[in-house]
Amino acid sequence: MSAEQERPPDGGVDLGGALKAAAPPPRRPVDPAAVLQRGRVLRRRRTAARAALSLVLVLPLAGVLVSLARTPAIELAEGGGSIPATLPATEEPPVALVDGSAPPDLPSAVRARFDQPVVGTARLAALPEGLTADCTAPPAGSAGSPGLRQQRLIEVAGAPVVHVGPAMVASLQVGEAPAPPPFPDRYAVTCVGAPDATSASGGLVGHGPALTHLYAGWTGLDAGETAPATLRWISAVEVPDGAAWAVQEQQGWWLAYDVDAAPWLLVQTAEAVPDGAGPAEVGFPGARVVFLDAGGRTMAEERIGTDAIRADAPFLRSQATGARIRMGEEGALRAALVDGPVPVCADERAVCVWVSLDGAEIVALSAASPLPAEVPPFGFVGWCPSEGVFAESSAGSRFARDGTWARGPAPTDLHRYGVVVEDGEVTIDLGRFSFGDDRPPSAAAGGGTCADLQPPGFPAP
Amino acid sequence: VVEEDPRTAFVRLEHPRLVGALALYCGDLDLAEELAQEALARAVRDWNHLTTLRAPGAWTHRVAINLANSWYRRRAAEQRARARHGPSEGGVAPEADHADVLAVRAAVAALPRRQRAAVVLRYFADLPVADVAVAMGCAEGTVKSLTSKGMHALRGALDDAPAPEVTDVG
Repeated sequence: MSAEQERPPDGGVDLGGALKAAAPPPRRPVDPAAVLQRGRVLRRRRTAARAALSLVLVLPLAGVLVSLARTPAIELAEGGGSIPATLPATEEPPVALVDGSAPPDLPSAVRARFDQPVVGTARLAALPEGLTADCTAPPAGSAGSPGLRQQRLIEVAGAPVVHVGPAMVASLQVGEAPAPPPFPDRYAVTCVGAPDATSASGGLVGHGPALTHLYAGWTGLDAGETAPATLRWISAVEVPDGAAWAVQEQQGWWLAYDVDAAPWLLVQTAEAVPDGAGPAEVGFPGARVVFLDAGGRTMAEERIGTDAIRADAPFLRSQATGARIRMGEEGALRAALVDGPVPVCADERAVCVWVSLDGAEIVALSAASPLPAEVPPFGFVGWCPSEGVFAESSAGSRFARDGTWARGPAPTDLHRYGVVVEDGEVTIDLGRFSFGDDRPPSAAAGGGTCADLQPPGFPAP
Repeated sequence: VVEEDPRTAFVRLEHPRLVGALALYCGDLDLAEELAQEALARAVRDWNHLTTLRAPGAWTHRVAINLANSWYRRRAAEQRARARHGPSEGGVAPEADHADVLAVRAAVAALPRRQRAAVVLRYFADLPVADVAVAMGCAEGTVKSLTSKGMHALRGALDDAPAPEVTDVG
């Protein structure tokens, strides 16, 4: 069918011709030399930005690895034993995600939410037969490797998903967890990945209520990069009171999890860059972090880069170390808060929090700005005693003492961490993180400088 | 005979089409020229990728539409600025055009954004449905639906109303 035949009938009116007649010609002829020069400038900028972003990403994550190296093992929940603090690094070079096979068709509702990255998703009604509860024993019929065992989980399930390729599961690493309890009744299996991108990653797996977190090793290999795949960082997502299996490999994620027990999961993925950067680029412009709930719905997503660093670094880093900050006796803390919020930092000052009051409630407000571009320590939220509000160091947004947005360009209220009061003792739980509510859409912007801004304690840039 | 650099040839070929499409889409010729130049610069930036594509022109139109959409997101602030500083001089040279041309532009400008993009890409830029779908990041069926609705709305607007007394379609 020709393009002309595809057009709807114009009813005698040549609307296509009318459009062409209505479109004005350029006032000036194009200067190709100027365009080519601009293109070269853009290319140089992109290269420089990627290099800078690499530093921004690697440096804080290196700090996480250092802190992990000091810890002999990651403590699990009571009775859960321990798994090694570091997962084995993979030596495999980056390979394409899809081994020549086409991704499956997805329900349009799923595809609409994720554009390219979601390759397949399915929900299982029951534990696949043949999969034992003992994670050290492969299921019947498998060749025995952990990778095959995970592959078996997907195969036996008969879920409408495709295998992304044998390499995806070949390097699965299993933490040395104790024998897990039986699996729960319902699972969801989700695969997320960008089919045309290349990357390599360490594996991860976690399961059973003995594991409170799901650990992900990430080598950080970027598209086209050929450096040896060494584990650069580790992240974790909380799996409260439920079993979870996960494989993360070759820029794709297979996740099998108890849909009732796991309220959300974190997925790092990549999208095709719509402004024309070409194939999806892993880790940098175009990549993003997606928070999924157990039904596959997106709860929140952030673009990788300064956004993701701001959004997930406090969260992930605190999860990785399971940091809790003891604030002492409740009465003494409340007395101190009468004079103003109290700053406190953890994880070698990578995460800073303002402890404040929301009415009578003690709250822990993130000292990282809700503005994506304001990454600590270059941008932060400080206390402005002369105004009695929190203020952003760079953009000047103001927040009330309870973290509610007051004015300025910040898109949300301040993010919050968990506060636990037990036996009169107050503890900040950095493993619990919630995004601030969106500010009113019609609110007027306008920040300003705070003359006596008190910083929260991030190290100097 | 010295053969012209393929990037230069591409820029020369696509520039007028991009400017026309963007002028219809945005209703501002100055802006259209600016966005067209930026879209072409990005094409040059990603030339290696572009040469692997079946329809590099469609790709460039997609970049242009995305740039225009970014502009839309800033539009509210710009409109406030325009209100403070007086009307823009960047219109589509209305004094040089006939009333029916102005009517078409106004009718296009009145379309919902996605319908406008589909109609402009399909009927002004003459992109096949498949390329429009790529450019808009949606299914071909969606493109057909959008263009059908858009053309129906255009037809209705041009049938019902005389040439409007507009001086600036932006």
